[in-house]
Amino acid sequence: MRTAERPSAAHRGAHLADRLFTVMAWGCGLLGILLPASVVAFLLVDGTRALSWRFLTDRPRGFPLGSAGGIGPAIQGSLALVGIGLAVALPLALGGAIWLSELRPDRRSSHLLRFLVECLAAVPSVVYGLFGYAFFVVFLRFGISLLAGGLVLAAVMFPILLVSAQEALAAVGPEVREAALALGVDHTYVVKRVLLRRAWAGLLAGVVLAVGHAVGSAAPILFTATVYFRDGGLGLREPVMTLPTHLYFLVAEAISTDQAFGTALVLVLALLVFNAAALALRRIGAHP
Amino acid sequence: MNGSTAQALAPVEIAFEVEDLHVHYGGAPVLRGVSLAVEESSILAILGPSGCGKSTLLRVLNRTLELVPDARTARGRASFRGQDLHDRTLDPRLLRKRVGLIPQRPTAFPMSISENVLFGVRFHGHWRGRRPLDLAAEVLARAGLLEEVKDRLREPAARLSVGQLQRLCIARALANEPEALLLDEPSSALDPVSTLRIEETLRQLARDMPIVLVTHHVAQARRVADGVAVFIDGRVAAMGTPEEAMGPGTDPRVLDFVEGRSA
Amino acid sequence: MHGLGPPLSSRDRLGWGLCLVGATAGALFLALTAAFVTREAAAGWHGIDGLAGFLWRDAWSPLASPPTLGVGHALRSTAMLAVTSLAVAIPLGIGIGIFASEVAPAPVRAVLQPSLELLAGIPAVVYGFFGYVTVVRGLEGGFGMVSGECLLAAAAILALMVVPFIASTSAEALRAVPQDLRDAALSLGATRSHVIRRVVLRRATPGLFAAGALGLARALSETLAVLMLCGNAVAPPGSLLDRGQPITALLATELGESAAGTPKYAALYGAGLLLLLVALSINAGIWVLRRRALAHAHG
Repeated sequence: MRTAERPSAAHRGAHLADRLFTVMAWGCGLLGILLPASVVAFLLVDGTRALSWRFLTDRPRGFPLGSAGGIGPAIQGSLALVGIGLAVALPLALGGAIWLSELRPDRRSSHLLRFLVECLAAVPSVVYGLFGYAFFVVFLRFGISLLAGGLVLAAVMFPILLVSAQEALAAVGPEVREAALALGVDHTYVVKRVLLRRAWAGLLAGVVLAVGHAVGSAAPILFTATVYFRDGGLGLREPVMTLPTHLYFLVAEAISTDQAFGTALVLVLALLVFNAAALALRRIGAHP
Repeated sequence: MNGSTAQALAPVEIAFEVEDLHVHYGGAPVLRGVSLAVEESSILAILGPSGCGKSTLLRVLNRTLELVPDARTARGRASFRGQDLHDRTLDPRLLRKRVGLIPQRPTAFPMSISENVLFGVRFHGHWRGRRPLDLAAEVLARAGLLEEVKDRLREPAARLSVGQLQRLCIARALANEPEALLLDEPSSALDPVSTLRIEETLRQLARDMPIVLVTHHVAQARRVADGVAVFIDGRVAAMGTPEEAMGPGTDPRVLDFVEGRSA
Repeated sequence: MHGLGPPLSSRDRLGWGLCLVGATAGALFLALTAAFVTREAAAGWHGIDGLAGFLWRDAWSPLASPPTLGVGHALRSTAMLAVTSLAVAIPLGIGIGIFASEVAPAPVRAVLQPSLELLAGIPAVVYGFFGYVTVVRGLEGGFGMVSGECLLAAAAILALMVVPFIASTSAEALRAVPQDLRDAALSLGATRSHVIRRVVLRRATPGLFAAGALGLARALSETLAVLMLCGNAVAPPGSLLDRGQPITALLATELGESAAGTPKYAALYGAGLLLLLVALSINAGIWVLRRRALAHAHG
């Protein structure tokens, strides 16, 4: 056996380097698992104290306002904003994904469109805030409102929705399209009855991811939709409270760390639910 | 052949006629001058090694070739009962309904067994007063699948076995009330029993319509086909009754294929 | 792989028309964004002392008389934040990428993947709060700083935020390197670390650059977390322990307090335009690198 002979110094060095490399790689990998776990654990430990049914439903109270009470209106506002954004972005993104995946335009135009979609995803969220303020709030006179913020969030969600929908449709094998078209039906029928149904899990996973991202994003809506306090229902032309901006105000104005812990935990728990749902849906999508 | 006198007396009617057909995929020739005819109420088996253009011919006959992005008919003619298949004004939907194609990989659509069968009917609307479940059952019976699935017509079709799925695809095509059937290797993934069942179904269907069957099983062609065309490299190397086309006097490359010396 | 072919009915043509609206909506929105940000910057630009004054010569003092509107301090803060956070995040992120693609056993990878997605998904504002109660308080308590809000605190959290993006992009680049290349090198008797360093990493270089560029883009455009941690001071920072105000924080702080059409408003939109242009150029670079990475891996 060769290896039983005295190994050369170079050989020993290579062996040592291999060991070191493996240890470092495992170190990085474990950090990658421990970092998110510890952030979540940290918020859980101090946040659960603040969490209660009352916290989730009551309006902010106390002096300074927000140091007691709950985050009910912020949850409402966040849901309404994301709902409007989704209602605008989903049909457009789905149409775009179907166009790119099913009509198969020539390579050039499909590459160009995909590039533009990725550019849209690369626009810094604070720039969307600037744009939304100048265009929706000032130019179109929507004011700081649910409507203006919802439209800005639509732009934030659109690229996520489009890319995931395109992937979900591409995962449906070509033989399915052929089998359907060979029966003499038209595209509309194939898309509605076969493709969208086959791809539903992947499509829904994309929706969940986009919603999860939009719920937590504050920069685009800070100047377009939100105020520090508001209670008393929603109106399209009225401003709203939202979870991320509420958390920002609580910290920036040093109002209450306890309430901030509770709000942060609600955001992270929502994210955990969204991510788990997306994971499960993608599993279903892979084995329909 | 026993029936030769009777055949000579009745005029032979031609369903599909293909003349000097050339098809290219992105410049590479796949069919290089194919001429053949398919008679009414008969089964023509197309044999040949893989990649010889068998499936391409089926795509031409039901106008699904245009789904392949860079495929192009370079030259030649193809017609079904006198209708030019390359006619630009011909509506592909109507032709595809008249000429049913059962693709190689059996595919379940994401819906129930009965809705799979009625997929085309719901689009084309040829109900003629029949109730959906009755129609589905009738067609499934013709495809030889009804006995196995009659208690679960509303269950998802994805739960069927491959052999059952293959017959579901035949039923789906039959529900369209086609005037001809094209099948692309219908028994490539099947056990011997299922294969025999499908062949039996095909023999019954061939009483009413012309059938083109692409296969690479020589034995299957001998069992079911009235005529055989052997494709080698995009050309018809031999054609006729199974005995003529694959008998001792035929093209040596065909003999190589028949006796398993080429893939 | 092919699509549905030419349209088959009039409702198909209508459907494709509607789908095309969706496909071009993104392009339209992008154009509208660029146009409006530029328009607002141009409208009040006369009140700004030229490009040089704007970019580095002038201080940010909109209330002085006459007011001066320079964003040099913000550019400096942004640069210091990006360099510091990436100095940590790129090695760690690529390390995680190597682990995920080359070393990790399947069950570990099955945990790592969703963990990184979680790390990438936590909202910036939550990171800001997390950094506030850990890093900022730690600096105040442990190091006796009067105020723990500083560029270092922001950079530490920013590094944590961009790591998952670098990790997943570099893992993707490494996985695109063909397996037979590794097998060939391993069969020659090279150790695994040698093969990864000399063969795999080299082959995946364009993709790794793309991962770094993506990290840079995220670091430059991150807003809420750095806003909450950097201290928001308009003096040019001297060291990482000073307070600072990166561009995104400047925008978020000042926009609410400036009237449309004023020079201050124009200066903010000018800074936003700069940020937009940088982000889009980096994105174009990533696009090119990624396509090259895939072409290399398959070629």
